[in-house]
Amino acid sequence: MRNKLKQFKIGDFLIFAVILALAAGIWARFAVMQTEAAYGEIWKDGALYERIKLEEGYQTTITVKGESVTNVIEVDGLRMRVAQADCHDHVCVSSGWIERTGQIAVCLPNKLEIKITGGQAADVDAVVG
Amino acid sequence: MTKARRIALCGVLTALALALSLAERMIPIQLLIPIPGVKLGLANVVTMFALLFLKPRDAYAILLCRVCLAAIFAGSVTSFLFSLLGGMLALTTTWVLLRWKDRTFTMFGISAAAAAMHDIGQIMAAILVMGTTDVLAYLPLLLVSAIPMGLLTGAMIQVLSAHLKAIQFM
Repeated sequence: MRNKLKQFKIGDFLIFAVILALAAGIWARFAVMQTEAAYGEIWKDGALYERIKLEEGYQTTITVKGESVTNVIEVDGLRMRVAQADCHDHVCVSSGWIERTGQIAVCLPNKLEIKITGGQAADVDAVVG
Repeated sequence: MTKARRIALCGVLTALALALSLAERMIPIQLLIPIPGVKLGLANVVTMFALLFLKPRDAYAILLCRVCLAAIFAGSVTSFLFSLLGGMLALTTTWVLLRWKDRTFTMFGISAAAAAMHDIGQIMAAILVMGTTDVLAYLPLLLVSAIPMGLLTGAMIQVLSAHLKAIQFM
């Protein structure tokens, strides 16, 4: 193992450390802002598309149709996810279930974002697109 | 090397980088590393090769052409922006770090840094496209994945340049 590590140099470890520190820093920033999960929000093209009050046992499915891509969003109790998408990379679907505030799933081709927010809703109570 | 040979080589490298960036999408790397957005970044090997054996402006030209072609072949305007920002940051970082190669860094570290900068560039593009900084939530895991992916491409360029030096290619 020591022999394997010898082929690296000090700068390499510095780079690894910086990368990990940056990752940890950003993660901490998101972890700290967490409040209780209250709403599931769907944002399309930078505007709020729908906000759903999250409740145990409440389930619903929302389909968001974009110019070229359609996303099917599933809300199940206190969590939500992008269940289906016909975009080419499926980053949204592979993001899986989100259930804590600050967590998101994004479909870039469709400019769609789903997120969990908590506590006080800003100004709008319900927006249905 | 003659100018003609250099231009021909750049053409071949552009085609190679294009093929690699398109082909690696078919490899289900997500099964091995379940991070949304994770990529192998094989085209970065071509970038590093260009910076090692050609001039920086050749590397930039290859990157620009490859990104344009990839967007035309298999992408959209948004994916063009992503690849461009990510690729440019990665290339510039590699170019800068190569100055201290063999003294402070090896290709492994430089490659990991390039992969990390590529991810940062892509998230920056995502922030621009989505109009929100929420997408930063993807960055921590992406950055962590940049290290093994960078080590992989670093190993590739290491083996490649060792072999090329042995046969005195350039």
